[in-house]
Amino acid sequence: MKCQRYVFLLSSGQLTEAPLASRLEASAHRWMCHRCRAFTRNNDTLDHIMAAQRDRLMQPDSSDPPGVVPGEPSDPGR
Amino acid sequence: MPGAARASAPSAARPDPELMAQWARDWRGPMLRFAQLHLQPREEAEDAVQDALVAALGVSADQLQQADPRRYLFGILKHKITDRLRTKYRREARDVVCDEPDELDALLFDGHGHWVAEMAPTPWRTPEADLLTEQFFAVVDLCIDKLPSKAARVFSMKELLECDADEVCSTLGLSKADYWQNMSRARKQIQLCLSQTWFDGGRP
Repeated sequence: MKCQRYVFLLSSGQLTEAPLASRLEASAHRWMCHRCRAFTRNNDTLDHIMAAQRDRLMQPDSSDPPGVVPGEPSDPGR
Repeated sequence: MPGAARASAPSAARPDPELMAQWARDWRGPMLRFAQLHLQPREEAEDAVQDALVAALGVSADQLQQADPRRYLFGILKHKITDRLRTKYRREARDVVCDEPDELDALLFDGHGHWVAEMAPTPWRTPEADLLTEQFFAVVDLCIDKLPSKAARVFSMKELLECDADEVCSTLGLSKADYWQNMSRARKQIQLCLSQTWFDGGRP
């Protein structure tokens, strides 16, 4: 397996549902290639970052006056 | 998606108007910001938020009292956003058959499929606590904004709306192969962008 193929399978999300033979081949490549190991680790960190981003986006407004969205007129009229 | 996301049929015991007003005050802003990540113009995002709040009124007071407002309201909102995206892109998908080739790969890999040395990733070593800052998330937003439009849509639906691959495909009118291509493109580009602008010395 080449780096480009490994990175595609991992980053597209196909690897988790790939047949056992493909997953073993990917594991073998990862053991051999420190760059793809780095990509894999960063890709896992990206999952954590996006989970934190989701959490951050879904926080209530605590500092805004009631009913006011920053950057818009005070009465949305909707 | 949270199980409570779809509003059930109206019940005799209507939700407490005070509670709903409080929820609307607390959550309208975050919901609108979230909706605007997926829907443009702003009016369409506002409509989706309004639809979600109206749908929340359709459940019984008992259900509402027991619900976690964040999970509940964002669950409904995600469905409202997905419905609007489905309507918008299903028609568009019929007109756009082919996609641009992944020119990013030409930058990252040589002709044999190996990493180009200067572009190869190195492990991100910043402590996780240092990442959870407003400054860092601004860089994350910037990197997502730089994605090609289709890759950005696929990535946002998967990672922010938490849709599964089949739902993303049916909503945006994509084949599975197209989905994989766009998801891969998004993750590679975001990793490269974060490396260059934050982890590899680009950190402000």
